[in-house]
Amino acid sequence: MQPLTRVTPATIDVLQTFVESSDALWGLRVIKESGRPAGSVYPILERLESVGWVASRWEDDNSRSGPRRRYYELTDGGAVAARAAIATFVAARRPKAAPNVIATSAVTA
Amino acid sequence: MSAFSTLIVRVAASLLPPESRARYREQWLADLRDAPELGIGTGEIAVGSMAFAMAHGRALPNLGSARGWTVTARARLAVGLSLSVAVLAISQVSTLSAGGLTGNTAYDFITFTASMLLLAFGIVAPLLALILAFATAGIARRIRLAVALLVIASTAAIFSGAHGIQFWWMSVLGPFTPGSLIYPLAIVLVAVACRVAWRELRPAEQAPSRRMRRELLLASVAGGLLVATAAIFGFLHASALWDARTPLVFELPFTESNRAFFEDWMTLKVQFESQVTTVLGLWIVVGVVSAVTVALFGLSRWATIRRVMALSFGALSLVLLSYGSILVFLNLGSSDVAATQPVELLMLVARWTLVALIVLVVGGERNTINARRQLQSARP
Repeated sequence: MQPLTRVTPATIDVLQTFVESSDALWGLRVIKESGRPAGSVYPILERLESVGWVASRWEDDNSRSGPRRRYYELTDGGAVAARAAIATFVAARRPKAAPNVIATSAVTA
Repeated sequence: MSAFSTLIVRVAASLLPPESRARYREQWLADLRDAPELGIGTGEIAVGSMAFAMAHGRALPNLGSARGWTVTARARLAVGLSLSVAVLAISQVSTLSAGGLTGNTAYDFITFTASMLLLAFGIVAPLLALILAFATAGIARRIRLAVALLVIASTAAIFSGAHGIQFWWMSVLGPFTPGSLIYPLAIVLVAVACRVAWRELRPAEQAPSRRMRRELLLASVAGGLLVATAAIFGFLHASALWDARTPLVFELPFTESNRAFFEDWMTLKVQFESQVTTVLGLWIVVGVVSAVTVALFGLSRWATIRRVMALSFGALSLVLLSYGSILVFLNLGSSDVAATQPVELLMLVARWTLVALIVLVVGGERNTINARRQLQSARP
């Protein structure tokens, strides 16, 4: 498994969708759940798969005729890396408390 | 699933490499079929599949995964080709008009052939640039973005011209219409594209000796003087012709059938004729800026004799192209003076020179920062 070279907000949304789901997801479900357009999600899925964070397989359901759905799920290493990436991203995005706010809190306490 | 979306998805899949084509075709067709179930539009899947195909750089005939120098060379050529067409399209839209064989003289044959070749170049060069930029694995995203912006800018300028605006400054001086924004927008896109491409293709800085520095300065000052001379001559010539002109309205042979057309046309022209001083002033500003830029380039960190010469001839072509455009704009190239043929020829030569210089200088620049970096990283 390789590290992701570029983690965008859309990548985090896709990873979050996988982390919150206990089952494998097909591409269209990822688009729906992440709220990201197909033009973002398809390349992200390909990138996650190429670095080994996500694995994919065809659906097993033989009752549906026509083309098969492609299901994606986090690999073991990918699940760990995804949670770490989300945590890092959230921490970076969290607004830091301004010094005067901290000082005020300290005085109040 | 709509037939159109299905078609787009199939096309997108066919643009992928053979090993992944079948997989994505089936996956996207399944997504198309099931999209309404999740309330997702089939159009979004179609757009997504095409975006995927484009993003993976294999949307066009696969040129293989080149490395090192080859990638840099293709990137430079792609930018050079697309930039040359964008500059042409903005400098004057009729650049890409083929003209016609109105007579049987050698002059007619030469101008017609040269114009047709320019037209062919205007069509083929952007396509070739897109293929080079998007079909070569390993080309930097910035290069792809720059090429895409340049192709959009040239296409927009050409289409704008096809709807009646001939010169970019007419869109500034003429009455405001939504179409007036296309030229300024195209210029902004070209500027942004150049800025983006510069970060990838920036030439390596030079450290010339004292003697070499003096020679560079001499060469650039000579180039600047050449450009300034052309600008001053052109300005004086256009002004003299304008002062001595015979109003076109008295020259044209009117008949009852064409009178109304020419009267409407003259009304439109009068609108621009009131701006003649501004246009001449604007042009002399272009001339002065070009001359000063060339003259000062010798002091630049990127100056080499080859680049100084290329910049001098590029600026000279630009000034001559402006001169020809001014004459056409002032209508001095038609019945007022017998200058039609020299002006057309001059503009054709200037356009071809500009194209050749941009393609050669941008496409042929080997000593870029990234090229050096790649060479260093390739060393054991």
